Amino acid sequence: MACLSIDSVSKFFGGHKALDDVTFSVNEGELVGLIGPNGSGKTTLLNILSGYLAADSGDVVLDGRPITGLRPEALARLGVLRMFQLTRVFPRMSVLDNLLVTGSALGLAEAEADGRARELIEDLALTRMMHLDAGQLSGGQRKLLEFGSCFMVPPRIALLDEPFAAVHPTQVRQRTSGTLNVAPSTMTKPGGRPLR
Amino acid sequence: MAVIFNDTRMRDRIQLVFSLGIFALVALLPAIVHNEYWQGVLIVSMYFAMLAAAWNLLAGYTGQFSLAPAAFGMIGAYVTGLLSYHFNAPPLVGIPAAVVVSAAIGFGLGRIVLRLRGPYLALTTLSFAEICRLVISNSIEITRGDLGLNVPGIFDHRLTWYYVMLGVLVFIQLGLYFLLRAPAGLYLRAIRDDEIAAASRGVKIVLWKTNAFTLSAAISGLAGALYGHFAQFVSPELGLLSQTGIIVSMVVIGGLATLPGPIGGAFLVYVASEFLRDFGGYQLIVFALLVIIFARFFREGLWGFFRRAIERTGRRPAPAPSAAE
Repeated sequence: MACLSIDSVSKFFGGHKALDDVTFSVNEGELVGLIGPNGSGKTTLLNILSGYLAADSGDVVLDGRPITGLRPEALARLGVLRMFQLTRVFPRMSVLDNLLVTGSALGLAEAEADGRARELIEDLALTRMMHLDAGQLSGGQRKLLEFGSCFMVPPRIALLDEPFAAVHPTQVRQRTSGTLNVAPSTMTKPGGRPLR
Repeated sequence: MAVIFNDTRMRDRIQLVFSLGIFALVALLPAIVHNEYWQGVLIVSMYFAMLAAAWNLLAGYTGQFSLAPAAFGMIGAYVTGLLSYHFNAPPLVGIPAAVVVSAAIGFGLGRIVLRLRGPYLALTTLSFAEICRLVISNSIEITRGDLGLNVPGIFDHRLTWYYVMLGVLVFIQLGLYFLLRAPAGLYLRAIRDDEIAAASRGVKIVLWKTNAFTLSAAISGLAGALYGHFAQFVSPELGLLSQTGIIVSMVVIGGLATLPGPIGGAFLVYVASEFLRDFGGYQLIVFALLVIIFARFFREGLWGFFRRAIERTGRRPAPAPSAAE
């Protein structure tokens, strides 16, 4: 059964048609790669799916419920978590607190969130940096942290915008083969390199 | 010591202990400060400490650089002042009313500036503050304008005032501490650091920003109402932009986004301004210079010096600087 269905979504930026009747669906447990050259609308689609942009036409349905026009925080609560192409972490909060924000906001109890965050930090090999401010992490570590944020609570769908750009291959393996529950998710990648 | 200092919860706890230390010191001060005038100076410092703590919640922890903290103090003072002037309402009615009205206005302002950031937010809150002040000083039939209002006092003894103000200040500080260590503290800091990221992680931006504005305004309103009854006089001068400037300088010098910063800063700046009183307007230049120096070179304010000193007393050096907080 389709977890997410996208039905003829279009988006214009001025006279430029960035998305032209995009239609596809993602099944539960499925890993979908969104591939295309720069400027082909991958991020635009993710922005619409995660509530940062409004589609000019078309519908998005998550688990049988139309989610078009919902705000990002409402979508996150429905299980639509996302990673940004330009990494977004909370620079003046510790790595642990970065994850706790997501855990608490998505309804985990404090102890539960803390346990889950420490588990993820270990999986992502960030234990030594746990109490550092996220602003002190390297670019790759920030990506890991943001990636981890999407999995504090098992998401219905994780939208990962270029999750592996500028990340060391070892870390890529770590992320994809770890104990993280990484599916179902959609990812965007420029070019056509396979994910593993 | 140095290691645990890196943990956020521990950081907040140490900061709370430190601010309680400041309160203990202030509680003992009347033993040496017998002069009523100087006791009064310290009471007014406590009024500013409340305003500074409230502004720090908004600007330091939530990242909303409002320029209206003094306006909310003025609103609180005028609510209880007007209630007693026109309706003979006792302070027990006037002060809670001041808190509620300030909170409501803070809520409204928070809603209006929801989508504004940086200089736009600062300018809008600044205009709000000036509008409030001008409305009060021009509504002569209701507020007596620039003549101000006489407000009944509450306590006869200055020392009673002293400890009541101190008690309220401790209560506010403890409340802020518990707020910050709750999930709310995480949400506010997340909004400060990156609103877009916070939304994508499910933080209710509208709710928490408005909450921060409302709570900050309520605390400022309480401070203003208490001050009005203490000074037995309120005037539109309470809402002057220069008052906001003093509040901002207290927080920046003491340490933005720290618990003891606004408290320590308030006492230092206000007491120092008493000493500099003879120099008139020049005192503002001194504080402005200090603010620029601190904002540029010492982001953690005076609290940063203390933090490093505490860390040095630890057996080994900290593995990493704990925060640019």
